[in-house]
Amino acid sequence: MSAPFYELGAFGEVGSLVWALVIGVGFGWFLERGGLGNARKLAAQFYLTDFAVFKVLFTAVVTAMLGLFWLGRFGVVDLGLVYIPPTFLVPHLLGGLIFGVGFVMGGLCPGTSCVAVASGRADGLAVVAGMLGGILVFGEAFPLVARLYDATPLGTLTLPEATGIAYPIVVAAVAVGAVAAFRGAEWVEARYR
Amino acid sequence: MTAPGTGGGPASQTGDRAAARSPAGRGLRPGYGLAVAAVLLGLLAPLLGSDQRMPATGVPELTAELATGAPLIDAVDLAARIRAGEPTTLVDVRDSSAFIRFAIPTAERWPVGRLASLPEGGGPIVLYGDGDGTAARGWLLLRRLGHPDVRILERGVVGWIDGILEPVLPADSPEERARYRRVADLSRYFGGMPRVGEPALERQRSAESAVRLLSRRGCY
Repeated sequence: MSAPFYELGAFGEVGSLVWALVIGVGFGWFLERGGLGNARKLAAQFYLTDFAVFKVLFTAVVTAMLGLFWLGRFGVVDLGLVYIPPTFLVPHLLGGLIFGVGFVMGGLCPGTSCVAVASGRADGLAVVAGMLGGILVFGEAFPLVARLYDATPLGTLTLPEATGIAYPIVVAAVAVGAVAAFRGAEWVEARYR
Repeated sequence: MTAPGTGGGPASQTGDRAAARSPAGRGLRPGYGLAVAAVLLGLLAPLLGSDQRMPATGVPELTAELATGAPLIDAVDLAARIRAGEPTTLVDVRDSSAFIRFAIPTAERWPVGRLASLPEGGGPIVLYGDGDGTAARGWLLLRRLGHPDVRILERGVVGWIDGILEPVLPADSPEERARYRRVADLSRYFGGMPRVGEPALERQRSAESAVRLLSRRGCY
């Protein structure tokens, strides 16, 4: 096993920050090349006229899923050391709702707002300013929401654990389901465009 | 020319051209070859893949276990295990200079970055550091790797020095005298200097200063 690299000591704290910067820049570049620095394209996802956001991100999910599965299968990655964020059901639902409202209003999410700024867009700057302002407000108001923040913990939850279906079968189902979902998305796009 | 109301400017025109050039701009029709490859890799998973699952014990559960003090072992219990020869893998996670200057008997030095290679030795794995959280990080790594019995020496090197090498214990009641005899016996076995007295409030001192004081005694 040689990965995950940080957990297995391939590089230390400073190295992890350098790699975070490299991966972050790469991620932003791919988002911009995929057209996701355009607020109108992003907002169109919510109006069901352009499923670019869904397609790009779901493609990334499927690629990562297949990559991790097969690298784990051949002993390159120790899946047991891959960090999985824990699930807090109610806070996540509420945060997702707030996030979604902000997304459709601004046409940008936190990541794509940075991409938009890098592309020279003023609306990206406005969303970044709003994001930083929101972070400040949340930090200052955290004592008021601390109980809600930790409510309904479900631990680390994966699809195989939640469904009781074997991991390889979930991988197969998601891969096949992705293709079907892409075809369905194109049908919806044609209907609503 | 941009459509009315789209607010076209240089930045938006560049972004729009980029969006139009991109696969997403053309509606992101799946690359059929890539889609076929993804479906094939997915369908092969149940046939060729192992049923590798994520571990049942995730980080939050392990963090909660750490917070309750469950994986801690105190210096007296550790010393008793070492003296009795009970299988124990004692791991020092500090840097080499600290290890050379002072180490608990039978300890092996394993930096956290190499702990994944720690061989199974039988018995519990006991980690100790100098109180900077490195031992806790090593504990988390080993538990995530599936080692069932991993403990952390309470207060690390300082805990060993205060608990075994320089213990100060009351001996007023029969129970206290019995405990003092037990600890004193262990202390002398490891070259310590037990004393009777009222223990001071737990001293907040660094491992470095604790080891430096030991050196002044001429014993280390």
